[in-house]
Amino acid sequence: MPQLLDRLQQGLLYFDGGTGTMFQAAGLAPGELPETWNILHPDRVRQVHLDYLQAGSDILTTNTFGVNGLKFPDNGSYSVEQLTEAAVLIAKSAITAAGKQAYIALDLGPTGKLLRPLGELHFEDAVDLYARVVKCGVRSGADLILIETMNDAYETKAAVLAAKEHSNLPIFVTNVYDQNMQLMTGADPAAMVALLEGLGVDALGLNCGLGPEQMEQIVPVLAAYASVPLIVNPNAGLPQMVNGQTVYECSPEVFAASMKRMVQSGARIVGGCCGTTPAHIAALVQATSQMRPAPITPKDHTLVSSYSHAVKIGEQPILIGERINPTGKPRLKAALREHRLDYILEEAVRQQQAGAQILDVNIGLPEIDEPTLLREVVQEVQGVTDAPLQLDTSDPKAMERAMRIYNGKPLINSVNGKQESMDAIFPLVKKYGGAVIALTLDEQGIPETADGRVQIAKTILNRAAEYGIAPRDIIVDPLAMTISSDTTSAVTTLQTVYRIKHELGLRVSLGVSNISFGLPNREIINAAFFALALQNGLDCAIMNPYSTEMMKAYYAFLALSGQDPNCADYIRFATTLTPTPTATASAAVPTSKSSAGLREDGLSELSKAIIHGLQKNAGQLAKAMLQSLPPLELINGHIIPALDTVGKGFEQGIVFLPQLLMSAEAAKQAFEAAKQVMQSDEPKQQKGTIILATVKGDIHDIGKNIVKVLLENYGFHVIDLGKDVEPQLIVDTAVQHHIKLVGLSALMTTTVPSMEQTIQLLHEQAPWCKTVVGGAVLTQTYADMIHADKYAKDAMDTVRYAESIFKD
Amino acid sequence: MALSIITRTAAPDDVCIDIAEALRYMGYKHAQPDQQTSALIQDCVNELKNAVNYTACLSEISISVRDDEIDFGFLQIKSRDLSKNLSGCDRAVLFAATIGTGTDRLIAKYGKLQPSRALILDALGSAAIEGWCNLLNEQVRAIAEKNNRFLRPRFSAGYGDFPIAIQPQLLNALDAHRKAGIYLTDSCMMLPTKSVSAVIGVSDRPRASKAGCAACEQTDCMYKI
Repeated sequence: MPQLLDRLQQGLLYFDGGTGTMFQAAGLAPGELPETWNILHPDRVRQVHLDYLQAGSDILTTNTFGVNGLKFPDNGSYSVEQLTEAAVLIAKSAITAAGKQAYIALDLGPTGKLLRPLGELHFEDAVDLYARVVKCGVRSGADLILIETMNDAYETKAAVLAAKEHSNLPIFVTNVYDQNMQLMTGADPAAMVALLEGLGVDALGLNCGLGPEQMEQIVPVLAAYASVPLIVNPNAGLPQMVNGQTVYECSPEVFAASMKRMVQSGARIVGGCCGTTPAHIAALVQATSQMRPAPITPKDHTLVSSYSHAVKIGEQPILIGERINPTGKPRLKAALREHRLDYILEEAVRQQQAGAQILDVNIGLPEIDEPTLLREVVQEVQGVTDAPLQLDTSDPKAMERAMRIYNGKPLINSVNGKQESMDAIFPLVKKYGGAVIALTLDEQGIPETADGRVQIAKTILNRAAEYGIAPRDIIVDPLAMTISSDTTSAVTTLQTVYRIKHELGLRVSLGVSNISFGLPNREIINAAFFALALQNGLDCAIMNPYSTEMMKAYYAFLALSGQDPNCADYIRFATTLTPTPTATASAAVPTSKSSAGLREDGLSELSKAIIHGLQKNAGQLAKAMLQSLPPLELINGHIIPALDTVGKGFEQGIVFLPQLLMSAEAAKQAFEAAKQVMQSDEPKQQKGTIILATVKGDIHDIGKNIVKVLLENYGFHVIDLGKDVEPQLIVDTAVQHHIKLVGLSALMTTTVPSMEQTIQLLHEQAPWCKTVVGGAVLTQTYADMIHADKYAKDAMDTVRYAESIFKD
Repeated sequence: MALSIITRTAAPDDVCIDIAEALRYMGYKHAQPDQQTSALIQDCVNELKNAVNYTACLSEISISVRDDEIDFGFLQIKSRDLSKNLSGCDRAVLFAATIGTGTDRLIAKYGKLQPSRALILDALGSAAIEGWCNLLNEQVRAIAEKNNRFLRPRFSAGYGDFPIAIQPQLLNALDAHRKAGIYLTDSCMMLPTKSVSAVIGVSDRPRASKAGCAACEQTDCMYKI
């Protein structure tokens, strides 16, 4: 039998179709797990395989869709290994009996659990679940691995990694798209192509969810990006209810006609999913077997992606936000040392709002554990932004950990011409996927001439090719060096940009702002250099998206180079440019009286801004007042009185929760301003440390987050352990820091027992510690039942209780 | 596995998000939000509409109700409250519906950055899934009434003594993970968080019955009106 991948080059390959309907016809009972038939009724499973072989299928899918350690736990009737091995052997025996050549695809379906952060399954646990099935499937003699019906990009990545780490078999992947051309968790076709080709799969496509006609819209989009063969396994149309029975709308003839059109637009491996039968496959084979499929053409797109979308480098210039990098930023350094990740998350969101399409993430500080922290920061940043990330570290271990858990195809910063660098980075790119920034320096340093830099780019390109990394995934950074020490350096860099783009045909990136190092008013030089570099072919720039001068240069360049239809982006940008508002005491607080009827007479403008929840104004007013007022007076004379007014209003039922939070957020801006001017020897306004956690099994943490912001406002330090937290972790933290108060939240009755367990453990191991509980299902009765010290009916109630605990 | 299941989707503008309902979830009993809050709420409505992805799967089945026991074919349970709700019904529509993962991402994001926004989006998300269920309910009612059949108010696991522990069987039977992207955690929470599963009784006879807060016997609920 020819090798599968060789066979794929020659022409169409046919998958099998649905099995559910056929198993039901053969007697599968409601609620019965079809995979158990591998042991109980192997003859019936074999017959389905035989029917498909008869219909013309070249690939049989093993009956292992739902086989994993969660659905078949070790204490159950059948083990994962038993079911997997039996499934492969049944497929083999069907092929032997049919006397036909066919390939066996080890079928991997979704685990059935949603991955963190949206769900509860850890990424590495998902990898392990798949690894067990893969190992056994390989041993039993599968010819390829089919990862199918995946509606989440992240789970797909886990399955592909397991397949890569435990086999050398070809890997095929199909995802479920909806009518908006997205996976359930948001990825579009380009994002999936970027992720999957980055991981090196051999074929990709779509199955289930839609009928062939709906898929006809998606196949051309996949074909425009994919360099590997496309798989299309639709349902037999959308199911309709007719007389209480599900009927799939597509007859074999209609199905085959639609499939024929998809073969024309690029499908090469075709079959069916739910509702399709051997008759559909037979009709498909008959309609298409004489067709010559569209050739498989490598595409030259440079793509990086997030969980939702891909960013294409090489067309319109791309902005890479540089602000998450501690170099020269004392506040970010402090935030990293104190593990205040909120600060980084805010930078991520702000940069994207300012126009950055990719965000650089660099957290390198000598005294931190970079591999652990970078992994955590990448996960957290992906929780608040859908921009693809540029992973920026010189520590290969940190790079590997971050690449592994990254949800998408990242940009890698960076590799260079040194042997050591290429040996460390290229294997990672090969394994996890990524586009990589290649710096034109090597063991001899940075060449002074364009020739020397182009030569290094060629060396890197050749070495990448040895690893099987395509030129499209190499983005050369020819290095901008300051003109203050060598006035010809800009010219050299610009020449190199031009030559790499036009002679080597590669993408080009630059860290723009280095060019002006040591000069006054650097933005003037930076912006002019940026425009020149763009004109010479720069594809992406690592830059400060908050710099108005840089953004002016960017939008002007797009408009002038004919890349901004109707100058629409430029007009939108230019009309938002207004003179910087000066922070004065007259910043606009609405004059309309507070609907809550709070007493505001005698209060300062800052206090009023806080009461009205005006974040921006509160920050500006605080800054202006701090020019003549010591920070402690600002806090005690203006921020605290405002918070008190709102807090009391809430307790009286005339202020409501959203407004309470808006005030808290405005107060936070004012606190931040005060903190910045506070001397380190001034006493810290901290009343005590409190642990907050949403209990094990519970993933709704909104209530906990609300309590946290209020407690911080009232001067408490909060250790936020997050959601779905193990009881022992809460207890250990309480013991370690000798914590006096732990706040626990739960939303559902089903998770109150883990709250009770946590309290019991605290009583045993941290008997000095008080507990306060809250959450939608909790009542005083429940709180008493589980021996909590306090039931808090709302966030202010928790604040008051904390004040009473820490009053001495 | 063996049920006949159909799927439904809706466009963001097809579903009514009841702002008054959302305000109630935020703790406003009868009061109105002030100007600042209203503006923020409107902003959140727009953001939510870009994030929702209304999906559902439904199945109509034969049932039998005897005393406190209900037989769904694939599942037999004992529940006084549900059997009261389903009395006189020989069929039922089971469904699972969701507004998708986009809203959960927004709530998680603002939970870290701007809790006021997270709170409002959470409340609006609850109103949105309620609106989506109402729309599905209306679609089922329209078909039933053509056949001179009448519906009972929809009833979810966790109401009264209808145990939440049946969720795995109910969602499995509806193939809700594959058909609608709805997952269940080990503690029987649905994911995405703004998801609902329910039973709608179908009968030959109309019956006026309580729905919403009036049908619930809990007295110490902070949302009760």
